[in-house]
Amino acid sequence: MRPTDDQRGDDRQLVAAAQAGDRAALESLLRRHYDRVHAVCRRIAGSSRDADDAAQEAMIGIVRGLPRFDGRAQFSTWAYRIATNAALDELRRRRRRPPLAVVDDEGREAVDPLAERTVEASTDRLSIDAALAALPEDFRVAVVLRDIGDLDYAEIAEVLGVPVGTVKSRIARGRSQLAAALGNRPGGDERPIPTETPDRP
Amino acid sequence: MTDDQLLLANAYVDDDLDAHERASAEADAEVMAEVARLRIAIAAVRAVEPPDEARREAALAAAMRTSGRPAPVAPPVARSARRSWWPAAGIAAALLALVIGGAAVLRAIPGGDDDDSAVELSSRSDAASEADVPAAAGDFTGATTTIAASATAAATTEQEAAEQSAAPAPTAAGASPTTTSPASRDASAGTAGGGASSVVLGTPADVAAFAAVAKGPPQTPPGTSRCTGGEYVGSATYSGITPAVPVDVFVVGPDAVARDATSCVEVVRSPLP
Repeated sequence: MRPTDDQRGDDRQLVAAAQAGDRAALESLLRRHYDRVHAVCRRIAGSSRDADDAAQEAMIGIVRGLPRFDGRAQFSTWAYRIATNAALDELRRRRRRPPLAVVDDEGREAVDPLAERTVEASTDRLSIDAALAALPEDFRVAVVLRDIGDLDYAEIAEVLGVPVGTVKSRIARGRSQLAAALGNRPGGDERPIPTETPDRP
Repeated sequence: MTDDQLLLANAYVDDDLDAHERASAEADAEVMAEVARLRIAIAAVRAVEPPDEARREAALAAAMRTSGRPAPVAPPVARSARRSWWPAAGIAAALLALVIGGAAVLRAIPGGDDDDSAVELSSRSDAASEADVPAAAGDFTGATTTIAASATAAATTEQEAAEQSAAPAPTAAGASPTTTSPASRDASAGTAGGGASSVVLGTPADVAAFAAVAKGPPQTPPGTSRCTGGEYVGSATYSGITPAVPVDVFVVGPDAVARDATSCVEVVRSPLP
């Protein structure tokens, strides 16, 4: 699911127009990448709420950084790097803050309006969240950039500032641990393959 | 499953094999079983629920509102709070120095306490002014003045740095890293990531020089950065663009890379000297 030449060309044109001050081009650029940026944040940060916040931070970071984007890397690679940092930052912020309970006017603990999205409908999704959360951060980021961001090994190495061999190793071990955590061991109880995937811009 | 088999299975899944490697993978039943398991895991990772529509629109609107505006270097509230706080801190430091100095004078008076630990305490209270601390045990007034002046100077420097980082950038021409010595490097790099530093880098070459110096041992650990990618070596302000931005400096392979401390966007990259 690598981006096609047309998509890359579209990105290049939109970036050039946005850098020249075309706000419509900027909005198009952000809109076509938002879902994938959100997906990267969702898988790294581990919850929809944190992903929402991180994706917004990433969008703002993209807008602020766009004048300095020199086009040496693919726009998507650059954008996912910003998204990765935003998601990791959100994750660290979440670890520092205590869990909040929502209390209604009468002092009773109310249902968090966003909790419904956190407790996803599918047990499979809870399993993948837990399995990803159990991965070392370095492994999780590499796997997400590969399997959600569709970056190749060299692009991931560029984003993470590590050698390509390290990227391959992290992805291999990360996926293997995920498969084991999801119960997909040899001869084990395998889960059905989910089909929902965000559209590639 | 050996490491080689695991790597082979992953390369197979990623279509990163030549024909020969692909054939050898397909001939290994263990590898192909691993391929099947990996594909299930990958599909699970990719099964992300779509983002909330309202949040998407809110995020896009927030991002569009920042278009055309310079990135804020420090929140206005934090700046004003810092301004009102520093004078009080300077006065408090001066008072503390007076108390310590006074206690030392009393102990130095004949018949007083012979223990001169207070003198050591007062002279250690500011390592940067260590050379200025009077050698004569009786000159405590001078020591007090030195410490108080140093504390005030430190406060002033911090305040100026905060104001400088929020003000329009100076021109890049002629700008050079203001920090080259280990002592001043520690003073700047000792802060956590986020660009809170008085070191001003005006050109990509400055960034490379800063990274080369900051990377060299021995030094105080440079704290942490919210950004990732490469080895974080310290924070500074990059004035080669307008407005100047706080940056976290990394060593990435053969390059020095300065990233916007707020957004982690790469600002400048330069080969290490």
